Formats: sequence, C-alpha cells, structure tokens
Amino acid sequence: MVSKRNWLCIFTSILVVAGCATPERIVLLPQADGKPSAVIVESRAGKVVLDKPYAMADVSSSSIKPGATNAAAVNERYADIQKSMPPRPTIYTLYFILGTTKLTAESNAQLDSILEQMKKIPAADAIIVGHADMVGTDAVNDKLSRDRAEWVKNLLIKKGIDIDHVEAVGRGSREPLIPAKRGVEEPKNRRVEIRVR
Amino acid sequence: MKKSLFFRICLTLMLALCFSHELLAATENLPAGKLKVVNGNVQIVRSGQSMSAKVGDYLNALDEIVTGPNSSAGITMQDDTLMSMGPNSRLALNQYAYDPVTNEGKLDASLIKGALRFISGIIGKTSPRSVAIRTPVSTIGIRGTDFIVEVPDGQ
Repeated sequence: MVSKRNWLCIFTSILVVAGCATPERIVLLPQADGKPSAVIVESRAGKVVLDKPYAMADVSSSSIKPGATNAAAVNERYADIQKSMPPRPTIYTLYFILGTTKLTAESNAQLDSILEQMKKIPAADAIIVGHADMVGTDAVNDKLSRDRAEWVKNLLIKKGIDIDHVEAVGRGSREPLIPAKRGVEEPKNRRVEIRVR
Repeated sequence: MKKSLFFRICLTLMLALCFSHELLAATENLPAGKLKVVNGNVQIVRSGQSMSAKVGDYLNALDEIVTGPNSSAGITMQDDTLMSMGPNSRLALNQYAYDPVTNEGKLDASLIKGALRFISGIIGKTSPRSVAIRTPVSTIGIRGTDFIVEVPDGQ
C-alpha cells in the first residue's frame, strides 16, 4: 500500500526527471550581415549570455548549461522552422528633386521595373517611408517627407499594385542615408524607401 | 506676464494632447503582423476564439498562434521582425507596438511550447531592451539577434 504522501513523492520525482530529461534550448544563429549579436538568457537558475554563432544554452528550472552546436546540426534538428521562415523584406528606394515630390530622372526610369518586381511578392504589404535632406526646417522636412511617401503610396494605388496594407510615413531629416550637415544638400537623402514584406 | 505663461502652458498641454492622440491613432491602424507562410494546420486564437489561419491573415497585438503536428508557420511583424514556428508550437503575443515614424516600439511574446526562430527587426535595432521572448522557464533578451528557442511539450 502506497500512502498519499509517497504518491506525491513519486509524482514530484517524475516531474523533476521529466524536467531534467528535456530542457529548453536556445541557440544563437549568425547575423545575415555578419555583425556581432547576442542573446541574454535568464531563468531562476541564473543568467547566461550567448554571443558567438551557434552558442547554445540548455535551460531547466534548476540549471542553465551553456554549450555549442553547428549549422548542419541546427538545419537538421530545426528543418521545419528553417523552411517556413518568411523572406526578408525588400527595400526599394526612389530619389526626389530638391524640395519637391518629383522623382529624379534616374528613379523615374527605374520605376516600371521596381513595380514589376513588387507584383511578384506573395501576400505583400508595405510601409512607405519618406525622407528629406538637411536643407530647410524640421517642420518643412517632416511635411515634405510625408508628402513624398503619400505621393508614392498614391502612385502604387494608381498603378494597380496589389498590396493590401500600405502605410505612408515621413521621417523628415532624422535618418539620412549619407551623413550631412544642416543646410547642406544631399541628393541621396531625398528619398522614399518602400519596404515590401 | 503671469497670464501669458499660463496660456503658454495651456497651449503646450493642448499640443501635447493632440500629438499623442495622433500618434496613438497612427499605430492603432496598423496590424501587428501578418502570416506569410502557412503549412498544414495553423490556428489564430483571438479573444478566446480559435480560427484556421491562411497566408495573408493579419495578426493583432494579443493573438496566439498555434501549429498542429507536421505544421509550421512564418510571420512578419510590422517592424520587419521575422518569426517561424515549427510543429506542435504555441506562441502568445503579450504586447506589440510599433511606431514607423519614430521606429520605436515594444515586442513581448511567449513561446509556450514547440520551436521558434526569431530574427529581430527595427524595434530590436532602435530599442533592443524593449524586446523579450519568454518561455516557461526562461526570458530571452536580444542584442541585434537571430536565434532559435525550443520548449519541450508538457513542462
């Protein structure tokens, strides 16, 4: 005859054993651009920083065990998640003439080919982000960048691009592509980025 | 003099109110994310209701995504965070906000079971401390990251 208390002990031991047998696993993968990266893993058992590609940690409620794996092992163990990763967003950039919502001749010439490429992306949606260069006040540049983004949004609608959620925003001169001094013209910064996902 | 200061404060408050309201409205319109890949049986659980998911379905900031056996799903969030889930997995979004004007936001999600690969997006770049992935026993913080997390069933 096993007492109630013994049953509780057996039950707890099973839980503990189960917990030990199958810890959670976290694996750091290399960045696509090769830059350094890290994850910080914390649990009741402590904290570990994974900062090398394929570094890993096995975490249970009572321990964190650091370790290492490799690309081949990851691709085999996680084949399903590797193949269902959505494609990385594609960014198309159009450039504008100073102080206007008019495309440069060069961007105008590329427009049709960009629109053709966008049509091929399945279940696409987009954020259109307008930018201005450092000429003019913040207020003017905020409005100009937003107007440029809206202009591109309307263009996509007019051209019948089937993207079902398009958002147009303006970032003014906050995010220059090329660093520039205030008041100095920089054609590369007068742009609209179409981020298609 | 006193009066003009009072007016100035009033004006500032009013402007701040307008501005915050506009920001809120801008982000409220945006869905949190979108299902880009659906293999097999994938469900979206929203306000306790479960529905079959298909490619192109939008996700809200508090949705749960559940994959069945031999199933998987790929998700793109509004800030270009990419996630893919393996079979028998359950991912709950706890909090999601993204403002495309300031590029700031917050992403908090829990992998309750299964496997997840996570490639951080713009929020991860501008405010990495605002991104957290939780599991039953761990919390994962990121510093510009691509990683996999696996939670065994029944812990």
